[in-house]
Amino acid sequence: MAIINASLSNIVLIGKPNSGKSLLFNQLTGLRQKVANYPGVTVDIKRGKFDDFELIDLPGTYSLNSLSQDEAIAIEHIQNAVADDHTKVVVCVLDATRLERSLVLGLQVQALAKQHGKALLFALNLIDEVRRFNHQIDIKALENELGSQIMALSAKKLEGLHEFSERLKEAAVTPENFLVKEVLFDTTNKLTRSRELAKRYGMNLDVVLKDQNRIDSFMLNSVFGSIAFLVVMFVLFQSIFTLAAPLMDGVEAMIGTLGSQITQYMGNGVATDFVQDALFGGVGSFLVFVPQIMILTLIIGLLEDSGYLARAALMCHRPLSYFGLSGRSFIPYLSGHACAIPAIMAARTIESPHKRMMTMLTIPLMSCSARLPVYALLIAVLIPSNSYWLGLFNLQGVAFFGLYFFGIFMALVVSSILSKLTTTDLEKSDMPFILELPSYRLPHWKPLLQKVLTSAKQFIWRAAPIIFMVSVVIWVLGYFPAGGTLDDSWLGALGQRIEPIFSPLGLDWRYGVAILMSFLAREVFVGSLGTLFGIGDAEENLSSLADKIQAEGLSLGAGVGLVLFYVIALQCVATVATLKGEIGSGKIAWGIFLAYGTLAYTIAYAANQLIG
Amino acid sequence: MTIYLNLLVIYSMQLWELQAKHSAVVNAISDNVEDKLASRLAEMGFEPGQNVQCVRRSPFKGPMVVSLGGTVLALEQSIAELISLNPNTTNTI
Repeated sequence: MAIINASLSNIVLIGKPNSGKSLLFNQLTGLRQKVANYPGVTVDIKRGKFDDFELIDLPGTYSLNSLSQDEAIAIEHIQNAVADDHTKVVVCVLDATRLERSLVLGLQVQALAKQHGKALLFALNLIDEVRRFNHQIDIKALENELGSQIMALSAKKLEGLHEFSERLKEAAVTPENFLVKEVLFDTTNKLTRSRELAKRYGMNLDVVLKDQNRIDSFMLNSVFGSIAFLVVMFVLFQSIFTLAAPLMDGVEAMIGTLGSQITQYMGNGVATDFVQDALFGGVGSFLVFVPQIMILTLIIGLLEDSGYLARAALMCHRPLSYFGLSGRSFIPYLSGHACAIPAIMAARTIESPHKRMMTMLTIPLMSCSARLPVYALLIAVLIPSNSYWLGLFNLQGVAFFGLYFFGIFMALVVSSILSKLTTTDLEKSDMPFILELPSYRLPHWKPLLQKVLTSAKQFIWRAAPIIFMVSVVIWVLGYFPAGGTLDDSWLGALGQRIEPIFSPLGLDWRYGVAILMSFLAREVFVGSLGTLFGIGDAEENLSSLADKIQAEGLSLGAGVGLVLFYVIALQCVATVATLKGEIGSGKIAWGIFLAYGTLAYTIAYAANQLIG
Repeated sequence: MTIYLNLLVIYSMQLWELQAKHSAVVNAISDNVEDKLASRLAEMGFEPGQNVQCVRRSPFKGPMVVSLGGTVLALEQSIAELISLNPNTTNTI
């Protein structure tokens, strides 16, 4: 992607959350863009190419006066971006249906642009909504009052978008013509000023809110709303399995075919064994999860863009606050079921630092998709696939659900214990829960697709190097010096050395090695176990590995203990690294890694002793 | 004097006490609110003289949903108790 930093002329995009800023950005740049995760900075900044310029999408904010530390970082970024010498134009996106709130930020941004002598262009988005309610905004008059140019547009319906991009190019080429003009009005109090302007130019809001409140009276109703909530959650989890399954099979088949095609030309030898087992067996096995992460991101994105997630957070706030969490913890918890890394980053939106910490520390207990193959394998070994009630009620399905539930349950327990231990007089300085309920909107596919692609890219980018290294190490240790016989390999020797650690759990050395190897990334477990049980293609044929384990015998207690171990243990370096980055303390991140490891071991031990 | 004070107590009303489908005018934001938060609340529209409507109340003391200045907001008890309303201005909506 050579588009980044290719030009020295930047255009920055600033706006309120829900103002349609992301969609406008997507419409202007197409799908070629890059999410920059600056080291040590907890804000996402998207960059894309617009004409000869670089368009920078700055984090959405309600105000330039920060409330929390995270907001402060985002706002500092906005201020730096506006002040930057390369910045030619500042675009401030206004929500035409919410003129008063938009102008509060708009006037702040305008003052900032003026202070740095930058060109400013207002994009009055959602103009189609305003017209739908038969309202006209007198753009010329509003321009005179503001002293800056305004372009009315609809990023969704593409109305006025062409005119806007032409004007934007003009502004980028001749920024001196777009500087903020002096106006004859008193603009010192931005709050009164925006209220005044909204009263004169904005639309009657009762009409807009009536629609929204009608849907909310259903969605937030204690009976119907709860049912709707459960249905949404059920569909979400169901689709992680049903929608993703064929895609995952497809990826698996593709990797398998590619692997056999390549190894065919290589003949027999060490190199072939390496490519087949370490490269395609190890790295290939984790690519299988990519479709699942994409589907979960898609559904969460749909819920978010439609406005429903804010309602879900509202409904969950009271119940979650009993456990020291916030309603905003709900969204990170939800995405934690795909992957803990984006989930931990999503916890940034939690208003209270303490609740945010509790959320981040317990997210690793959500059953992420990397645990799925482990669950699938062990459930296939332990639970008969009997169905009852016309197949609606499947024992293995129930076991899956039970494991997910156990993870969530443990997260709530850990969170309430931790917050009881750490709460002193937080109540006073803690940030309260205030949440804007945006209008319900039909999501647009462009930002959604962008989110989905980014999630896949980030997942692969973060996990691939580690998994590749682990695969290489395990393959080398298992292959040499004997050249293929596992028991005589270095890995075998190591395994017998560590057997005493795992025998109290009822597990032999092969499980021990697989657990040890999966401490960096739990995806490795099934592959390692497959190699150790002498099946090269463990990932592609889960049932045969399950048969093999059943044939060799795994006691129910040890099996249950093992699967519960995987629910609790934080076996993911990428997650620990993310925690470290977000919390800003390696001590806490590695501490929680050790704590969950110990807890997992204890639970596995107890299960083995109790069930036997 | 005591009677006067009592009257004062009676005549101040918290946002948290506003019932569903009722509106009132904002009186003040408590001094106990941190400056940063108070200015954010002002930016959200919680300024003296502004009309706020309670759209709905949640069961079990869950967050209340209010509407002001064209935005719908959910607020939990701890903050809604720190915003005072003018009780003489309550109206049904």
